[in-house]
Amino acid sequence: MALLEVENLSVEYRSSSGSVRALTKVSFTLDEAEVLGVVGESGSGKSTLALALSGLLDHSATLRADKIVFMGIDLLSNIESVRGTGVFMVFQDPFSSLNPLMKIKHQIFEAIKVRCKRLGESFSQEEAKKEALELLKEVRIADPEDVLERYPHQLSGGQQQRVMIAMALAERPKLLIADEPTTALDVITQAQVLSIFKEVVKRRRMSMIFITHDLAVASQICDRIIVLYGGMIQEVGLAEEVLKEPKHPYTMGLIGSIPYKSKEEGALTSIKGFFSHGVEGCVFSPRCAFAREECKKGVPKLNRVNGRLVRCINYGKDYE
Amino acid sequence: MLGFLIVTLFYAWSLVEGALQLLGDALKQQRLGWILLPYNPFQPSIQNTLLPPSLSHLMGTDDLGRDIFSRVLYAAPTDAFVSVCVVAGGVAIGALLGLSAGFFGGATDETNMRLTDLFLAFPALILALTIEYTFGRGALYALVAMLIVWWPTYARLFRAEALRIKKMKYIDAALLSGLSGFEILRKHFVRPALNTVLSYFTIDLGNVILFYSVLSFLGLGVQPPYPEWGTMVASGLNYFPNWWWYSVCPGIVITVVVIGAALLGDALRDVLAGEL
Amino acid sequence: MNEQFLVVKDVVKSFTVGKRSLLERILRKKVQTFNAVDHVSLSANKGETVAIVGESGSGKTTLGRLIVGLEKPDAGDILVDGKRVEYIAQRPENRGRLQMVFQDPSSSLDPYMSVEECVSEPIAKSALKKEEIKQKVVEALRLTGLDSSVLKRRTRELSGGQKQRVAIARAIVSDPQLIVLDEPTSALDVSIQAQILNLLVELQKLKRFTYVLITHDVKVARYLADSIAVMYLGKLVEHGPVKEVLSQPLHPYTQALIEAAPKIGAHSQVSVEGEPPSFLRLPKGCRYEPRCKFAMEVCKTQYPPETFVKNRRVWCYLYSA
Repeated sequence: MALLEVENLSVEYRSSSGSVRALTKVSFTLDEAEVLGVVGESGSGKSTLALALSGLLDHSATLRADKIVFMGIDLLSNIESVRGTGVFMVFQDPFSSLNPLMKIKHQIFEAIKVRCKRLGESFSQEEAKKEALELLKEVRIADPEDVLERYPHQLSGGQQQRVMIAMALAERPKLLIADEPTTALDVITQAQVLSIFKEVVKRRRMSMIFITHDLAVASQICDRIIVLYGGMIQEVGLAEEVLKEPKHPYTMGLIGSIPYKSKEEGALTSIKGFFSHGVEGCVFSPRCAFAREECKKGVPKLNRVNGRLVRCINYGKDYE
Repeated sequence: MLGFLIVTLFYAWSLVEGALQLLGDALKQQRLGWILLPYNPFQPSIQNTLLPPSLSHLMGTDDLGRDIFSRVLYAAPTDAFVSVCVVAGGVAIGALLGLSAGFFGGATDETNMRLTDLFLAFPALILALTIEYTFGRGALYALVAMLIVWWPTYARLFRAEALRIKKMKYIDAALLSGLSGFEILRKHFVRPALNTVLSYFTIDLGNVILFYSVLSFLGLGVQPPYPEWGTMVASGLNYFPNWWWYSVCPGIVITVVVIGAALLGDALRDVLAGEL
Repeated sequence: MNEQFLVVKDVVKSFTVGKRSLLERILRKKVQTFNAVDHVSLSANKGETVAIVGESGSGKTTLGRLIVGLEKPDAGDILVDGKRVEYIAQRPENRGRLQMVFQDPSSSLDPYMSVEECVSEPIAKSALKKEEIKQKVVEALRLTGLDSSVLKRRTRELSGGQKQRVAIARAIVSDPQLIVLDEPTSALDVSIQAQILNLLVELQKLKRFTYVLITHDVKVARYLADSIAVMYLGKLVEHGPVKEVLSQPLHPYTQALIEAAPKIGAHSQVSVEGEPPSFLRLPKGCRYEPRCKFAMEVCKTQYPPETFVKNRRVWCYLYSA
C-alpha cells in the first residue's frame, strides 16, 4: 500500500479581487522510502502543495480533493490533523523557523517531547540530551555539544538548516516535506545537506517530498519527479528518465535553459514570455514552441506514455 | 467610510467657522463668529440656566444659561487648528530629523536621536505646566508644549522607515547615478515614508484633540470665557450627574471626533496596504 | 595581457565587528576589524567579462561594490580605463560611468516610480534636454526587449523578468564603461534566467561593455565569462581563463566548488566537510587548509604566494616552487 495517496487535489485562494486557482486536480502516490520531487517555478503552485499536505494552508484557501490518505488514515475530513501523524516540514529559510530566544538544545528537546507525546513514550531530560547529540551527529554537525548550547543567530545558514533537519528527525516522521530546503545555502553546503538527506532517507526508510525549482538539485536526490506548471501536473515519471528524455515541452524548455555551454557556442534556448493566469486551453501554450490550434480548445488530459504521464495534446487527443 | 465622514465634517465646519471668527476679530465684528450658530455662545441668560437638552437647545444650557451646542460648535475650530498644527509640525520636524538620521547614519544619526530621546523624556503635562508657569496660561502656550512633546515619536517612525529604505538596492543605484544625498532623500524617501506614516498621523489627529482637551480640562489650555470642549467637560463636572448634559454632551463630541479619526486612519492603512 | 581596462591593485576593505556607540567613538576604543577583501589584485580587458566566483563570506560582493565605487577601499587602487574609481561618483564626468545590476529585482527598482522615471535616473542630471532623455530611455528599453508601452507603468506591476530588464536598461542608459552584475539571475525563475543571460551577451557584443560578474553559480560563470577569479574568505585562490579553470581546476577549493555543483545526470561529489571558519578566527596560513584534503605542513605557515601556472594565477603550495 502506498504511504500517501492524493487524488484530484485542488486549492483555491479567495481574496477581495476574486479567486485564484493555485492547484488544479493534482493526483499522485508516494511509497515508503521514496523521494518524490516537485519541480516548478513561481506560480506553479508547488509551495501551495507543500502547505496543503502539511495542513498549513491559510484560512482564505479552500482545499478540495477526492482522496487524501496517509498511512491508511483518511485526512480529507480534517487536513490539519495531519500534523500529528508523522508528517514534518522543512522550510527554505531555517532562521525564521527557529526560535531566536531559545537555545538549540531546548528546541530539539521540544521536538522530542512532541514525539514522545504522540507515540506515548515517556520523556526524560537525560535521554533527550543523548538523543539530541545523536541527531546532531547524524546531520554531521561539528562540535555538537557546543552547538546545543548556542542560539540560532550564532549559527551559520548551513548549521541552522542541519538543526532544522535534526529537529524534523526527532519527530520520527514517516514523511518529510522539504520546500526549497537548500535554495538559500552555498553550493558546498547544499551538496552536504543533500547528501545528509540521502543518507537519512535510506537509513530511516523515510519518504520525502522535495520541492524545488532547480532541476539539477532534484536530479541528485529524487526517485520520481512531478513537473508543475500553472497549478497542474504537466509531466510525471522516474527522475532519471524525465531529465534525460523530457516529453513535455515545458520540461524540455526548462532543461534546455540551464546554462551548460559558453557564450561563443551560441545563445541559450529559453522559454519565451512569462507565466500569467487566465489562459484559454493549455496553460503553457502561449509560451510553447510546439503550440497548435488544438492547444487552445481545452486542457489536455494526462496521457500515459511508456510509464510516464504527460499533459500535452501531442501525446493524446483527449481534453479534461 | 464613517470615519471619513466624521473627520471631513469636523474639519470642514472648523474651516468655515474658524474663518468667520478670524474675520470677526479682524473687523472687530465679533458677531461674525456666531452668525451661523443657533445662539450667541457668550451670552449668559439667568432664566435659562441648566436647561436639559430639548429641541431649542440641542445639548441643553450650562450654568450661565449659555447654549452648549453653540459653544461646542464655536470651540470646534480651536481643536481643529491645534490638531493640524501639532501633527503637521510633528511630521515636518520628525521627517527632517528622522529621515536624515536614518539615511546619513553616523554622527547625524547619533545627534538627532539623542536630541529626540531628550525631548521624548519630557512628560507633556509637566512641560505644559512649566511653560505656563513661566509664560502664563493660554491656548497658544499649550499648543507649543504639545508640539515640543509630539515630534519625537515621528522622528523615530521616520528613522525606522529611512533605515528600511536605505537597504534597498535602488538607493545604491541612485548613488551610482550621481544623485546627492538630499536629492535621494527627496526622490526616494519622502513619498514612501509619508505613505507609511499617513495612517498613523490621521489617528494622531484624534489623539492630539484628546490630549488638548485634557490640557484644557486641567485649566492649562483655552481660558474662559472662550469655550473649549475639554474645559466644558471640566466645568460640567461640578453639575454631574444631575445636570449631566453639561459634561456629557461635549464629552460625546470629543469621543466621536477621536473615534472618527481612528476609523479613518485604520481605513487608510488598509487601502494603502492593498495598494502596495 | 596588455592595455588593461579594469585594474584592481592590491585592494583591501575592512569592516568593523559590531557597531560603535558615540561614547566609544569619542573614547577611540579599539574595535575588531576583519578584511572582507584582503589584498586582491586582478585585471580585465575591455569588452570582456570577468567572473568573481565564491560562496557567502568570500568577499565577492564587496569587491564588486568596490569596483563600482559604492565602497571605498582602505588600501590599494581601482582603475577603469586609466582613471581611478571615485567613491560614489559625485563629479559630473563620472556620473553613470560605472553601473551595477543587482540580484533582487524587487529591491532594485523603486516601487513608487514609473519605469520611465527609473530608467532615466542615471541621466536625469545630465545636460540633455527632456526629449533627448526620453529618447535614450526608450532606446535602452528597446535594447532590453521592452517596448515603450511600459514607460508609464509602476515598476511594482512588472514580473520578475521584466523588472530585471528594466534594471538592465537603467544600467546601460548612461553608456557606462563598466557594469558590475551582482548575481543578476539568481532570483529569477529558471526559464527567465536564460532569457536574461542571452540578453546580457547580446548587449555586450553590441556595445562592447566590460562586465564584472559576481556569482556563486559556476554554470552562469561558464556561459557568460571570459575569465574567472575564485575567492575564498577575502582572498583570491585562482584566476584564469574560464574554460581552462573550469575544466582543469588547480586549486583544491575550485575543485570542491565544481564537484559540489549539482548537474543533471551526474551525482555531485561532496569531498569537503565542515564550513568556512569565522573571519575573526582565520588560520594563519592558507585559509582553506583546515578543509583541504591535500593539506601539508607548509600550508599552515603563511598564505601561499601567487604562482603562475600556464596562463593562470594560483595561490596554493601544491604549485609553488
